[in-house]
Amino acid sequence: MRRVVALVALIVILGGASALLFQTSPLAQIEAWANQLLTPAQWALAQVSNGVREPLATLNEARDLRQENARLRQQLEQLALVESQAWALQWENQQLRAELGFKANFPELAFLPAEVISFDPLNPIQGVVIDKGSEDAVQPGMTVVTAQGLVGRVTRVGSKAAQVVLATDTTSAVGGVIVSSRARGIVYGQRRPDHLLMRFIPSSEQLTFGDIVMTSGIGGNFPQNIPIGRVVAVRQQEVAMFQEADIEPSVDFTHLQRVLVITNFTPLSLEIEH
Amino acid sequence: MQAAWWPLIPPWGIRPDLVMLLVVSWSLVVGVSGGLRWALIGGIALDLISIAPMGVATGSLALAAFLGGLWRRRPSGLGPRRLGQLAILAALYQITTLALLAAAGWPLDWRVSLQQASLPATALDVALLPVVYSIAERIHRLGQPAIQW
Repeated sequence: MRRVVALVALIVILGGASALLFQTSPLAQIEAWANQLLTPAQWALAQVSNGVREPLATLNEARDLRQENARLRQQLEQLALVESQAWALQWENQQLRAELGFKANFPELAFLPAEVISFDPLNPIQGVVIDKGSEDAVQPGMTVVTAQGLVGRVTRVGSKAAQVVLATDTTSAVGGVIVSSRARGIVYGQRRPDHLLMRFIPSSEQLTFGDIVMTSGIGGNFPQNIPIGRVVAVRQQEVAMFQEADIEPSVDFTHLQRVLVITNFTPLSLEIEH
Repeated sequence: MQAAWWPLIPPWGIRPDLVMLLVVSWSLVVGVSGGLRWALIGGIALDLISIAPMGVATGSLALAAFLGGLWRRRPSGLGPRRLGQLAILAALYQITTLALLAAAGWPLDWRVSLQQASLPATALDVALLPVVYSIAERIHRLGQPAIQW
């Protein structure tokens, strides 16, 4: 115990003595000079070290940023893909909902969905080819519609595809009726996707802008009450028996993609059988 | 390509007659036999996918290719006379198509078809023909063997 006390006392005395000695002795003075001399060098070294460290850190950051950039780009591409798929699904969903609503209006008709796979390559003809044919029970004369209304009529059928003449073709003539007045006429194609012409409407009938035109069923080639379009202009001559109207089709023929073939409506054949 | 490349019917309802552009240009460059060969191939392909009666596209293309072949390299290059020939061939193709459709019993409305289809299509084709003709000329020149002295 006495030894320990003696050792502590010795350390305290030595520490105090050395502190006293360095404060006052030439050694302390030497240390101060040395510090003064070394400080600029230390500062310079620190500057150099910082100057090297910062670019190195920047390089490392750049490498990390490049990797992160590549990863983010990849994520962005994946997101764009997901977004386009979502848009496609949303569009398809809208189409299917519209088709469902359309089908509900015609419970007596059977519909076969089909996709438009090509357009007629000859300019004078307005027609499309659909991806359903005789293997799917498609037959010539069948009516083709979309959820918006009348598209046309099947003319030729292959095993896996069928050709459809559009209602806008100049050879197309469909019996039409104006919903508000029940006035009848014949709707002709004008080879333009945004224009049909309804002729032979009795002059006594009053037509107004926006009147809805539907298939009349007269002639037996098309089912009744399929929307055709709406009246956008009327031409009437004072002495003529009939008037005619410009019709804007309800179907967007410039964006035909998905159609429905009415498979259980048989067009009437007006040919006399011998 | 002509039937499916343009996925939509454009609002004005007219698409360029790609096959005709190629066949007419080629016949002007290589002559009657080469032009007729491609008219036959292109025409049958078009007839197979068209609603029109079989032979309408082939017949129209063959006539345009034949006349184009007769005008082969007279003059060469794209001068006013050549441009005139291209316009005549484009119009001839459209008129022949309508005539053959009518001859085949297609219930054609001549006035509407001329106004809405043939005239605008001719204008579009005439605008594109010089480009396609220049490309056809270059391709033909590339295929020629180099003259060695």
